[in-house]
Amino acid sequence: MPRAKLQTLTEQMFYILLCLKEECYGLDILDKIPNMTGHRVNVGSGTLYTLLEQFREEGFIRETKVEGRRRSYIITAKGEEVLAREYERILAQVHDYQLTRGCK
Amino acid sequence: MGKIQETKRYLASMSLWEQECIEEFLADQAEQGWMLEKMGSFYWHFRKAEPKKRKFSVVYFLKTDDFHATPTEEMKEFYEFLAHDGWYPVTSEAGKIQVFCNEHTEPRPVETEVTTKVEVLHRMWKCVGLKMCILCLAVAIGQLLALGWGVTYMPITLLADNMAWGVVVCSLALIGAGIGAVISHYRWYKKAQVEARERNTFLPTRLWMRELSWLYIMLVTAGLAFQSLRVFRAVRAVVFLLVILVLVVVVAGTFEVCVAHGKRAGMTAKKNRKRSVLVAAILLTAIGILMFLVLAVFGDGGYFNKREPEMTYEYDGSTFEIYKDELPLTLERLTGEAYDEQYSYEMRLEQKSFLINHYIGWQSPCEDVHELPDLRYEIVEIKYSLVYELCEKFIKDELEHDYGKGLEDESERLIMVEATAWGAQKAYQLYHGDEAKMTFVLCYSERIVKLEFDYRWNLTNAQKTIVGEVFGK
Repeated sequence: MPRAKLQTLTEQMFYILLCLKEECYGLDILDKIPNMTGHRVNVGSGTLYTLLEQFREEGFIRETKVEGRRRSYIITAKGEEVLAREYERILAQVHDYQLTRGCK
Repeated sequence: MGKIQETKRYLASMSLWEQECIEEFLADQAEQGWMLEKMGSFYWHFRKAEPKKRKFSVVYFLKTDDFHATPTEEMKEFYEFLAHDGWYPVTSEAGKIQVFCNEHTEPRPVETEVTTKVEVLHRMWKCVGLKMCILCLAVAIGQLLALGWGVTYMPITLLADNMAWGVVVCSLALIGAGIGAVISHYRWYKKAQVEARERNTFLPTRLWMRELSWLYIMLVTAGLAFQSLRVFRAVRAVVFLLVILVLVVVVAGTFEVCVAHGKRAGMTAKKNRKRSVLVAAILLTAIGILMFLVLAVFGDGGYFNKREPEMTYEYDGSTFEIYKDELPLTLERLTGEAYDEQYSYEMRLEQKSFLINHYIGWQSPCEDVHELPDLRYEIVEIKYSLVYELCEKFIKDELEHDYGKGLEDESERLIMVEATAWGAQKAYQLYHGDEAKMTFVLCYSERIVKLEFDYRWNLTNAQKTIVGEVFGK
């Protein structure tokens, strides 16, 4: 059930959507994410291909341009919403951590 | 100097679901200087290559099928994604399951996210594995329906057939395995989802997939063995089974060759699929017809398996056979008369199972002697009292509804008659409306006998006692 699965984003999903805040070729995401995360996060080419397809099916992203076999994508309002929700969830986690550890 | 071996074949013993297992095996082969070239259904083909450490990745690509001659546009796009990290396709096939290789020692893996990997595998299973389960269920249900049809028309014959019970057991096991596979997959899927989500680890599938494949093969083979033993006996059944297995390989091989030829000829996937399926269907039909002919000629009731008669005679331009089998009950014993050569005596053990033995006997006069009566009977020896009532019901139903001919005549019914004279526990006589027929069903403690006398016969109590002495002992 991909719908239920995508209610919560994994780290790799999160970064893919984050990359697509700006129009971007699918393939370029493969290099963008490691650069963005200092090589902490890596997305495999097979995983990226599958996820782009799933995101498109879910309406999180849309295709903007096709040049030969190169496709570029951008995040949709629905995708923004999912991304924002994930951000809130991470913030809540951070908040809970800080509260428990007395970091605040 | 001997010729250096350039290629080799490996019997495909690993299930294509065992991703990690295959990847390790291929890497090992590559290190030994053997590079995968082609993945067939039966064999994997390798060619000699420079021994080197290489990484392999088994990838499931759902948006294609095995009939494409060249990679589709979507697949080429997928290839480009993988090529970005140095992965290139190893085999020329453009099917759902593909193998990629990477010359780097530590490349970025094709799949980096476990949840996606689990989802892809699940979708792949629904696409391929589920179809296999449905096929197995269809085969098993088909077998049971064929037997069910037999139960309607010849229940006793089937009850007396050990092989039929074998088919039932195998079919039920196949249904169990099919349903078990579906349950097992969904259990794996749920567990794998949890593992992926909570521990970010991939739960391998190999624990159940390989065993299940072997179970399918064993059950289908056993089912076929029982089916062939139902039709043939002993050595010929083994030969028949081997022939069936060879034919399965021939059909599968022809299908593969046909698909490969279509690809080489540059056919579209649709045309290639249509042509290959058509060729397989024609071949299967031809084999079906051939098998039917083989059964008609070599089967137990076939041309080459007829009993040799004691003698033959000509009457009205036709040849008739005379047998001299020993019968438990004869007209001579009932009447005290001697009929010399005017009768044929036949006794046959129709079937024998762990539940019942089914015999048929008859004494019929020669065609040129019209005035003599005849005698027919069917004996069902029951080994387990549990099936006694079932057998009694089957025999009665068969008479009242005339199953064998498919003509249901409701005016035919069995009426209980006095059993003591027959020495039986229960006795029934067949009636057509109000007219009593000379057909009886006699129930003894361990056997049920269906007796059919000539319509001109008038049985005396003394003759009934003789019947009781013969069958009631």
